[in-house]
Amino acid sequence: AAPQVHSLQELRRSASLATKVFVQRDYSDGTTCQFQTKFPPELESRIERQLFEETVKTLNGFYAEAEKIGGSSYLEGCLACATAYFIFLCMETHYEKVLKKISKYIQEQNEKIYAPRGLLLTDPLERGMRVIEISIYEDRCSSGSSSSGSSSSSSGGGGGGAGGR
Amino acid sequence: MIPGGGSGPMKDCEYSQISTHSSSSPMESPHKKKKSSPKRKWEVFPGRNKFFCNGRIMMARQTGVFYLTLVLILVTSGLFFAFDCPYLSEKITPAIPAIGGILFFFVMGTLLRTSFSDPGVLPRATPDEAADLERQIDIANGSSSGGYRPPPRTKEVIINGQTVKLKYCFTCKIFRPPRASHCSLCDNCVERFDHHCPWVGNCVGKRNYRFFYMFILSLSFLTVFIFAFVITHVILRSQQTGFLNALKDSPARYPFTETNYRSSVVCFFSVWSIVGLSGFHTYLISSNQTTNEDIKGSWSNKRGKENYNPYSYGNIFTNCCAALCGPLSPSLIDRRGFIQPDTPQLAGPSNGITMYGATQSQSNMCDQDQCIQSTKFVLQAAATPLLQSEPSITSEELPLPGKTSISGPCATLTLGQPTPPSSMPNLTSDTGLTDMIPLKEEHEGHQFLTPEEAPSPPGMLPSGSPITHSHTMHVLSLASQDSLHEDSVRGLVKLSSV
Repeated sequence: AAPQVHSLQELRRSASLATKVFVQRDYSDGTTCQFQTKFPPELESRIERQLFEETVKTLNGFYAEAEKIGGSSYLEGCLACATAYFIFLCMETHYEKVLKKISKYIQEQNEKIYAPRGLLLTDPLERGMRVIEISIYEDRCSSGSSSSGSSSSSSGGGGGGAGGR
Repeated sequence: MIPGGGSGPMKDCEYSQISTHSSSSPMESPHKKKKSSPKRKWEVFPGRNKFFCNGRIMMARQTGVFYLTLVLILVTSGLFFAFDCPYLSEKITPAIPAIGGILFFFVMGTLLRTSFSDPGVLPRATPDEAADLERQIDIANGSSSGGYRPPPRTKEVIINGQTVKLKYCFTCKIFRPPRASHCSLCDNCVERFDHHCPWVGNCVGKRNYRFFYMFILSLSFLTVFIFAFVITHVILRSQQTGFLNALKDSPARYPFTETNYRSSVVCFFSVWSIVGLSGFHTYLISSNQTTNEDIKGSWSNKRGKENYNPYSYGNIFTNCCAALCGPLSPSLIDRRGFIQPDTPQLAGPSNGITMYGATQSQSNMCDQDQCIQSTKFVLQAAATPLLQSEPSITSEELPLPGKTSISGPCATLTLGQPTPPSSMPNLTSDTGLTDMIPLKEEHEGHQFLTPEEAPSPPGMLPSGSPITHSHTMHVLSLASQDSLHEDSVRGLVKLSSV
């Protein structure tokens, strides 16, 4: 039986990209950065609904924290204004700090949860904050066997279900 | 915007690609053959922007008026400091040049920040995203979209109880977020688009609105300050020597008084316009609107009693704080990043998924499916301005065919295959919109020969790839199948070298 746990590097080498799923933005709260928590049907056989929703909700929480208007952001804004915004040349903004946290979180999620299931999250920052791009991979070695829609959590030989009809 | 310097990289592209019929070489290879250093993303940026200092500075294409602004401010302030301040600091107080200096420093700092920073440009959709959106739109509209007359692409969203329509941007291939708008001068979608300001040589959007506001506010103070003290200077001198004598004395001992007069005239006119503008923007900030929304009357009561601004926080103080002291989002276009070839490879298209290309840098044989879709798409896109009356879409459609001087003639050339090569020289004239109008008419007149023969249209640009390369690559990948195409490709190459 083929090993089920892939590291990210192994994934890239041994698997081929089948398709990509895009989680769009949720604008119901205005222009703040939030993503839809609706579960995409393409992921039905690949990952548990709850894990996916938790990832998206955590990301939404991070973005809300980055864009929060409150005491510390006012302080940063006023200080920057007072220095004619020259302070941005040497200081990292609060938003940038949170973005670093987000990219670490995404990498961690990829390693622990998504790569073992043949999926890969792309940081929304690389896509202009429009979408969370989820790449679905299928193992090349098992692409010959076209089994439709087997459950991913314990499927031997990788998920041939994604994209294979 | 043609990356690099004009004809150099394109010549490389022609030579390397004509010799090979297979399209296995990645699109980036002509660049890499020239130098081993990888390109930065700003060099292949699809919008109409100028970049300086290796991508650190970003401005609009027309910067003439910006230099005028700089000159006006520097000269007026310079004259003030050189000629009025010595007298005033003696007579009244040395705090005057000090305060003037601080104001001047603030004005210049905010002006340069406004002009040089990214206003909040939204990067264009990657080919995969665009294809996915296309698919979703087709599903939503039903499979038969009625030929070349597509329904308008809008999505409705309810924000704070108000229905907001999100429009689809044909150039950037995205649904624009609320409050974003496409700037036709810069050919970019900008978040929270306020307006395009020629005086600062850039768009004013989410990321640089506060700099813009602080600029015009501090400039108002500076002009009022200079104006007031120039008048004071003249009055004080005239008390000594008589008013007319003070002006008459000018050529001999006070040559600056003439320039004094000139700088006060400049100040007088700018005071009213700048102060007026500051007042207007103060109103906009306090009601959390953009210039764009105010001009269109999006949230005015005249549209209906139920109409209100869903983005406003309710009170003036919060609105001001949010606009000026809120968090500053980072630039989404990553101008100084290096172009990376993506590592995953494209799986076989047998499962019917149309992907434009797995990566931005690798080009594959153009899938027929993709070509059909993309040509259908460009027909829709080109036909749309003729059918829709909304000026906003028309203005963004016009840049689409006329994007670069290469894409335009290419499309006319390859789409209008029956036209003899002798008509090509007509196309080598520089593109304006006048050149593109015959293009649209040809669309109406000519049927597409077959989907296989039609290459990727000029409008479909994989983001991050050089425009010319993607186009010639796709043309050439089909040329191997059709000798008639080879003729047109050679013609294309001739055009490219112009």
